[in-house]
Amino acid sequence: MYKISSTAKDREIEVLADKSPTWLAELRRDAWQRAETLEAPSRKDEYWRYTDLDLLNPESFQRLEHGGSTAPLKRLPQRASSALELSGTGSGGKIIHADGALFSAGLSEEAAAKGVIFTDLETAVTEHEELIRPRLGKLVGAADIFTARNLALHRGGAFLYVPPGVELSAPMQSLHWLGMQGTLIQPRTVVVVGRGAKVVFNDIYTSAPLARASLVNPVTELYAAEDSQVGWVTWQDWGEGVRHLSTVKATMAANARLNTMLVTLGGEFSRTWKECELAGEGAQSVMLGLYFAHRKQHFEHWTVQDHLAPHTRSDLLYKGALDDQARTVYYGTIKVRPDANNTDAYQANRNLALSGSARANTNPQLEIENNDVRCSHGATVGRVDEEHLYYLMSRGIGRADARKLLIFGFFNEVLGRAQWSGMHELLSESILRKLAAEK
Amino acid sequence: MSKPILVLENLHAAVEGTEILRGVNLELPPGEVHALMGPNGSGKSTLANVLMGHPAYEVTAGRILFKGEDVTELEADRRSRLGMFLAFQYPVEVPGVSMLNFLRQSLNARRDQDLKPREFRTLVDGKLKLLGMDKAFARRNLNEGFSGGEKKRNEVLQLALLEPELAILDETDSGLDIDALRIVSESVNSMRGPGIGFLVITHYMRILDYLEPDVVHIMLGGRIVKSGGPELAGELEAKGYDSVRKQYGEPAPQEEATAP
Repeated sequence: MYKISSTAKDREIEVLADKSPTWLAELRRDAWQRAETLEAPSRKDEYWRYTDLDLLNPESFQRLEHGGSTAPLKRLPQRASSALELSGTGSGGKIIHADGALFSAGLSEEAAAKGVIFTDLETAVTEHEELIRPRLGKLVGAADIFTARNLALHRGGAFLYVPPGVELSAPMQSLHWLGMQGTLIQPRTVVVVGRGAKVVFNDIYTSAPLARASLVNPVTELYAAEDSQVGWVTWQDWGEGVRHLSTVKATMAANARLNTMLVTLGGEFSRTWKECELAGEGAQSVMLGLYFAHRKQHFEHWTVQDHLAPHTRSDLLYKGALDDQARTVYYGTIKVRPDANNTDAYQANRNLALSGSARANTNPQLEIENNDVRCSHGATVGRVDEEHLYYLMSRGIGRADARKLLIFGFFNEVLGRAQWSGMHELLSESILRKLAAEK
Repeated sequence: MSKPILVLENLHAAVEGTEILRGVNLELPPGEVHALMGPNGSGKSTLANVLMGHPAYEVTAGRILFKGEDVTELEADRRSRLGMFLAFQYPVEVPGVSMLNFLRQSLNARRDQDLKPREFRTLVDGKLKLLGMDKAFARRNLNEGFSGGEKKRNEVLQLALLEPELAILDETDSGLDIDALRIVSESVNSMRGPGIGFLVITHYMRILDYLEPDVVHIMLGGRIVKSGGPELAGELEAKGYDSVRKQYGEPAPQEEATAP
């Protein structure tokens, strides 16, 4: 599968390599070679057994030679600007891409004065080589054909650097908008948070509905230094027709705190790989996830909580609702390495099936190589409780409204733990929109 | 006498094919408090849930008239909006649903108008105070992590807020200590009036000392076998349910023999 005409592929990698600084050109070419030699994934592979790989064939999509849009966006659409409110009002900086090309970039005076760097990746690789070169491609390299292709052919994406000790109150925001049909975009984002620094990052993906599918294959690498505190919200609310295949990997040094919240709502296919490496003693990670799939949406959430150092703690809760003929997969692994004494690792995945024909798979895995751990994992797939429904209805609330209350109640356990003020409203709107689409 | 608020005519109901109510007849005029007593398993809670429209119970014969309207086939939300209320014996915990959101939606449904936020808060705070409940109560999730007593009080709070015309209290007294029982009874007494009828289901006589029912019904084997004045409760207390059973020939199921 995935046959590519050699002229087209060579031309693309060469165009990109030519535009890159030497070190990156080399990285790109190596990754391309690797991508060439890697075997295409198949459903026999445990990691791809739920995925319709035909949906992800890069050759079905037209690549953008210059990373540009054919009809440049003039103004940010409403759906995108409202998504920027998910952390409440205020922004420390915004990098906005439309169809893979930079649309706008801005940094608040406060952040600039504190030495924060927030640019598009193309600018960063030439202007901040010393910061980015040791890190780009180091956390997410060329492990599989998709990440290898991203490393070779990435265009767009953001670079954030927060110097040691700097605390930012307003979130730094990266938004990807998509208006083009049948295209492929592969942004790469690198975030470096210095020792003792504090920041919230919003990673937002949204678009209008597309009649012909586009594929988005983003990669994100996050470095959280000692004692840093990072809040991380990923908001995926693509319009219909978008296929999303994302890889995020974070590495945390000693006593770093990472609070992440992943929201998946949109697209026809969405697969996220989110890996958190607790590499330094005392690192603590909270990983929250929330998804709502309807119609024929197919969502996969893959997570890894990788404990390498002693006294580390990770706590994961993913909750999702699924309606109509939707399909969701959760596959989560807790790894406790031999050196990770005194580890706390928790993982829970809860699913609420709203229709008889929706299907949820949930697959928690443990790989424990140390005896000194406290570890728990649990997974459930349930339905709306008829007794709950009856109780609410006995107080005059109509069936449809009672059901909504219960669905929001289900999500509130996650939302209550995520301290982002604008998210409730934004999420309510999206969920209500989905429920309203019901037959 | 004014038109009854509730009339049950030969009401039969089954759950999963097993008939539990076998012909209940009852008339409850507005302004009256009726006590419904009977041993465990006699069908009291089933009757309460059938009256409220629990989807698992099927009415197999007879009908329920509320203010003269046949509500037998209505869903629970319609019954509530018409003015029926059930204080549950075991209120369910509804995780993640905030009390305030829930109370606001049910009040708006009952009144068929959207209350202004300030009006709503004043109303809720007033009722909380009346029931000796802390304001923080309303900021919690619906029954989530509530103690048994808190759940019962929450039922009475909802009763006070929704101002129904028929209130069915299903063993609201069980699980309450004497102080809580007094507060609950006092607030129920304060709601009494010509516009509301009460059907108080209880296993014990205790709550009846506070509520002073106009009529006492005794239920056995899915039927009301005896009705009378408040003296019937006293008689029952003196002689126990066994004497009623002897009189009406209903065999005592095993689990009832040990009921307190």
